[in-house]
Amino acid sequence: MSRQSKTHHVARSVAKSVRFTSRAIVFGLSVTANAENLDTSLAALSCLGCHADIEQPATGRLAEPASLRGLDVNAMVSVLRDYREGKRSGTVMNRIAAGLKDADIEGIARFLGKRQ
Amino acid sequence: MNPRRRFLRLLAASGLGWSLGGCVSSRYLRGTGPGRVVVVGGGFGGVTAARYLKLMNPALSVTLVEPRDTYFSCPGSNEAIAGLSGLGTLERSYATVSRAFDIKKVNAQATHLDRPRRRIVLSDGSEVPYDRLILSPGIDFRWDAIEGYDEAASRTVPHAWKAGPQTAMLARQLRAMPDGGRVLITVPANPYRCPPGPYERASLIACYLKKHKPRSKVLILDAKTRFSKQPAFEQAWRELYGDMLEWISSEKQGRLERVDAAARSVETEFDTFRADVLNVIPPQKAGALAEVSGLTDGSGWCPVDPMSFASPFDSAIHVIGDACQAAPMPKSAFSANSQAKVCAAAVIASLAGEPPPEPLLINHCYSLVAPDEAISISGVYGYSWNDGQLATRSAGETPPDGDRKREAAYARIWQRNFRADVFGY
Ligand SMILES: Cc1cc2nc3c(=O)[nH]c(=O)nc-3n(C[C@H](O)[C@H](O)[C@H](O)COP(=O)(O)OP(=O)(O)OC[C@H]3O[C@@H](n4cnc5c(N)ncnc54)[C@H](O)[C@@H]3O)c2cc1C
Repeated sequence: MSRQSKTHHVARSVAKSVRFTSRAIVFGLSVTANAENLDTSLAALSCLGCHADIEQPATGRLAEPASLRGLDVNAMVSVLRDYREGKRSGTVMNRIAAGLKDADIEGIARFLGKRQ
Repeated sequence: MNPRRRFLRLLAASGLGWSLGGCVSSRYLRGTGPGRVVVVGGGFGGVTAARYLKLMNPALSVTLVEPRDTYFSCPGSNEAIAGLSGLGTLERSYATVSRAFDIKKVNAQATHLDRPRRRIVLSDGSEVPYDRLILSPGIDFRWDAIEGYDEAASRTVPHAWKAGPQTAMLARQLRAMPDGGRVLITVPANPYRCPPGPYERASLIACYLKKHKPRSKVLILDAKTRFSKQPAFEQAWRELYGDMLEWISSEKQGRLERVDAAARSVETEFDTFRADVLNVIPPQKAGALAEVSGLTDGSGWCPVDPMSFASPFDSAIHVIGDACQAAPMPKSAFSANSQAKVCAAAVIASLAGEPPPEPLLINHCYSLVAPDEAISISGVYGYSWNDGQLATRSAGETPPDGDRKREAAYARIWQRNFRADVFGY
């Protein structure tokens, strides 16, 4: 990639990531009318450390701990519960889900799910 | 634009205007008047904090004090040492971060704090005022802890425990080493930055040697008797490197007594080890600024209230990342990132005169044991109302028979996504 197009590429992906993350945050705050919800959305922010909302390339094996965009809130709740209860096998998510209470799972799903 | 209008605009842009009802009265948005938040230290903790402060409240004035123009990520630096990647992929520019997120960057070293006047004093004598200060200065080395290993010695015998020129030096020395040589890595007692990092480094160096200098050896001289992810590391070492890689517990060799940088040798209580490439990872403490500002205790680290990461010595100052004591969380980039988000929310709440939200924190760290094999450790941490400390909600690591190939694919995605979550790209 030429230096110029590389800079352009970097600028584009920064802009994308800003857009998506601020959308996540705005959405999170918009459902945090009370303290309890606010607290669980803090847990969801840590999820973005791995599931950063940047676009994955269309090819290759980079599909798994990828963007959670487009996931339905209820689907996310049941996936997280299944991980926690060992009904769904995984490498990492079982261990993380084991530390989440029902309210955390619901808060995380409301925060991260249902984004287009 | 006033903060509320700005927020409404953001909300509209996100297509979520319908859910506005309760949110305007949310405590995050009340009292969003002027607040000067200054972050010192542009590492994983500091940049995450600065960025998330702006995301949570775009009206806030956020300043980042950091002397360098670019940051070098330690995660990924062991791969650079083993020649699997270049240093370039680890570098991030503050100019880009500052532009994209509307964060003011001050290019200077903070030399001390004027706490009564809430000012940071910079190396050129100028001052930066703050209403709230977030410190994420990372670590400094205890240059007085090992006889013969001081800052001057580290110019020829690298620690490579802060990424950048030190990483490049260790990589060069490894390349120049003859086949049949010995690489010796010394590891300090807990707590230190990145508990599994030395063992990842030993693995990847062994991998490089196996391919390019197969008669060579890697020796780890440890100040501990056990280490992070030990069963999974030892299983991988047996399978991949056999007796090329040897770990020596402090039970066998006792204390590390002395380093002779010129002779590239180290003395323990019982033996002397000569090396062709010597990597001394010295004992550590919180970044010097925390110490000179009176924010550390006898341990050399900064105690904090894990609800907000505020210092018990000064409620206007929060300390996050490696510099703080947030046991049982390990000192990792992931922890620093998770703490930064909790801290940003607490700072915004406190500027609004509100109590901080209850935190939930996560750590998850991969270690590559070969270019396409990795293991990991994770933990979820909640707040314990009993003792005001963090309590482990769940903890786990890759079992010895885990799927290392799959985790290596995840590890690569993590590095990329994680840097993007912090630096935006
Ligand atoms: C080899 C290695 C591998 C690692 N791998 C991983 C991994 O895979 N996953 C993981 O989660 N963690 C990993 N880590 C750990 C991770 O690098 C640290 O935990 C993380 O960098 C801590 O972030 P921080 O913000 O506390 O400090 P840092 O990232 O060190 O940032 C501190 C910043 O503060 C600045 N600063 C210091 N003092 C001042 C001052 N007085 N004025 C102005 N600026 C100042 C410094 O210039 C620096 O930029 C690894 C570490 C090493 C060494």
